[in-house]
Amino acid sequence: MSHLSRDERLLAVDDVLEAPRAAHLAACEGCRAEVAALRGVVARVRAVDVPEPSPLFWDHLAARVGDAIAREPRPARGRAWWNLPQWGWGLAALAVVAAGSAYLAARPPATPAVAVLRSGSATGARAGATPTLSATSTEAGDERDEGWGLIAAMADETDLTPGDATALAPLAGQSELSISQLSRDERAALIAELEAELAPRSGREG
Amino acid sequence: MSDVWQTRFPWPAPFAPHASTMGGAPSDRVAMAAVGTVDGGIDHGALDDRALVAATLAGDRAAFDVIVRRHQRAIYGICHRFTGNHADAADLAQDAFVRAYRGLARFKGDAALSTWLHRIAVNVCLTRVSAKTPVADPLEPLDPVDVRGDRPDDPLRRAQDAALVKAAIARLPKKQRLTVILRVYHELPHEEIARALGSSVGTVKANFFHALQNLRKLLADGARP
Repeated sequence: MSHLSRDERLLAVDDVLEAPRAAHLAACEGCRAEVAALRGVVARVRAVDVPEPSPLFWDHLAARVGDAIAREPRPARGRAWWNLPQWGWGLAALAVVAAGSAYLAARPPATPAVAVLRSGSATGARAGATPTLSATSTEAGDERDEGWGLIAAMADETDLTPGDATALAPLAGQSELSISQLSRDERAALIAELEAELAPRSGREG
Repeated sequence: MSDVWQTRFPWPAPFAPHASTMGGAPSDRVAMAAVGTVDGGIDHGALDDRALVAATLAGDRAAFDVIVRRHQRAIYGICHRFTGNHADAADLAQDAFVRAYRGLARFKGDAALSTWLHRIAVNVCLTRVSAKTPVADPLEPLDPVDVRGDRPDDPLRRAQDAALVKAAIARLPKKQRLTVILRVYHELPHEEIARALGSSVGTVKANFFHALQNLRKLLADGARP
């Protein structure tokens, strides 16, 4: 049987060596001497005490720490969600966008419908400016979507004033992250929506 | 705000500084018991470490004073065994607690606060002492005494042996030294030492084994008459 490994010798020092190896230790003079030497070192090290400082030292040390941290700002709060309203706002905004995108992706030819459902008058303008969108827009515009109606109603009821100041603008990098997680169809829907948004402005500017 | 606060914590919103926070008069500080303080009706000593951390993060510095008083012996002990002298140990212990205060929000609570404080103390020792190498006493500071004598309780012999051991520990590489301190004196399991040192468990075991082998050789050399 092989001699005790390094880890086994440490286990033997702590008296927690497993039975089969303990049997070897009992039978092997070399391993026994090695473990005894290590135990002797540990015992000598353990016997050395830290000198007990003055009884007043502990109050003194606490006071020193107190004086030092009195000059420190209050430690930053943890990053629990309830401590970061920006997270809540940002995530809520992302959830709305993701839910909308997913819904659009799940509904075949619904991708450009966003532009149509926003406003009937805008639909006409967009339809004229971007013929490629007009056909589907007209189709979608005829069938008013209940899901988007709900989202639109929620958006209308949302007070954006605090959101502007806090976090309806998503945190840095979160928009990219959200976009990177969209499916192909969702991305197509997003692109179509952006095109629909940009087209009339281009027309007015042009 | 105060209503929300009261639903979360069993003590008043503490953003106004308390009269007996650690910035208070020394007499106030001395009056604080080592176990805990009663401040504005709050018995900080009755709170566990996590509640004290939460209170500190909420602005209650008196809660951090209780954390310091609870753990200062252990932290000072690590620093003293590492540096080998009181003055440096006191400086390092203070530094460790100040760093802990600054980074308290990073304490996740998934391990004991003592483990987290050990880790900070270890880091303070590793970083601060790297710039100021501790003075290692010679292995034979006094007339050497044969420690194999037949009077193990002789105070002179024990003092001699303690000096030899301390000198030998001071000669260990820093991570081996801290591993010995945390394992032998603080009896931490290898896993906790690994967390404190930012190493793997295997590395900790290797460090401990090599430390014991080095000490064995150093002590054998030092004990030789």
